Amino acid sequence: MTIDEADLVRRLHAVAERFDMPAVPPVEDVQRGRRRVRRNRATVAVAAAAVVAFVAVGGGLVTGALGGGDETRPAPVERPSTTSSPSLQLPERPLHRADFGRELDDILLNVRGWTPNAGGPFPANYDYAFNGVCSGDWGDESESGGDGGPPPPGRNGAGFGHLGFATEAQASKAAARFVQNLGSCKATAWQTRPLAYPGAVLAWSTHAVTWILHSDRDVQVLQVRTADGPPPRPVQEAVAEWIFDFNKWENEN
Amino acid sequence: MMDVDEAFTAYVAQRRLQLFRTACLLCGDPHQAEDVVQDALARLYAAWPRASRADNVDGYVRRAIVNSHLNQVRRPWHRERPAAAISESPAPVNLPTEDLQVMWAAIANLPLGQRKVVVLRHFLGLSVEETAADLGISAGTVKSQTSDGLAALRRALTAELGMTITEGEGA
Repeated sequence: MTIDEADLVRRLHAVAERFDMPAVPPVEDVQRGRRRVRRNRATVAVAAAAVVAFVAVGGGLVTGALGGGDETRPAPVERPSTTSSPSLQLPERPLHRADFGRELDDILLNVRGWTPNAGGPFPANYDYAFNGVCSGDWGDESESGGDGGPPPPGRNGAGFGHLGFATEAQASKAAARFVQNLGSCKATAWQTRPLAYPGAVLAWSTHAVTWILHSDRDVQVLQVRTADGPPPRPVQEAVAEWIFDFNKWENEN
Repeated sequence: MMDVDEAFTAYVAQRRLQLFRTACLLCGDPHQAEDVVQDALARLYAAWPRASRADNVDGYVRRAIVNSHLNQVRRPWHRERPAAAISESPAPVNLPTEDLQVMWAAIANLPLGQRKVVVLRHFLGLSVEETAADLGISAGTVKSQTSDGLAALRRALTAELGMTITEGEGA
């Protein structure tokens, strides 16, 4: 028995036609597309910041005025707008947990000059942001919580934690205590600063970068292992926004 | 004039099934294929104004599927899943399930480069030139990869079902 090319095409189609597509509402494809647009804007902003940094470093070389540390990073760049255009009035619909993992990958794995999951193991006496001794009692009024969420890039000592509180005031207070307590860590020097995203604070040490975000009655903490200090500002803001979106989705599903 | 959402949704409604099946053939795994299609469609949405202005939406999304599949292959981690099998539901063409299983395994076992050209040329019906443009390779490479892919399918079908593929143009 022989099979010619036309028969091969028929067989290819026959194989493919055995696969039925899962039911995916078109609105979910639209939502994923919108999120992609938002990430693209963040990426463009990062690229713009890199150009600013290049110019700034070049100028510094000329004047002999190079500084050090995080202050030499690119100047803050206006956070790209996340507001949908007026025609985009589709209701929020649940995506999938895996979508969030991919989004975080997209945000964190493509930053030039900034590498997650790098820097070797944490020191033995390292003060982890989420549950270190110096931040240990910040969530004593919480009602729920734990580790969870999509794994961030660099799961070596990094992770995602959240605590839920009875009231928004308690959550706000706990987040503030968390940030304040980091300043008392002895083994690990944490620096913090508020982000433009409402309720979000960035903390960083020589071994990790941590986002602390208070929204509604929850406090979310995302710690990413890196020896590179904070990523560029647009990435900082995009991650904060991602945490907010993920928390919202978790609460609704 | 339709806005982006309307136009995109209409396109997706019309083409999503074929895109999914194309991705199934490329990935060898319907779960991964759905991931690939979702990612490709998100890219398409972001590029919709440009792709639709150039009247090349199909070409853009084909390239997005191929690239998204490559990204999945290169990811530092990915979900492990059991190998997919052909379902037992009746086939729309008169081929025994065993034949389809053999064909499916043979496609999945093709090297990625050969699989891509075979799928684009023989499932989507693209020309050598269109395939070359989509994959960013030369027409000569498309021809040689197609020829090698068909030869590999011939060997697999011959071994399993006692069939041979009649030599045609190959590429």
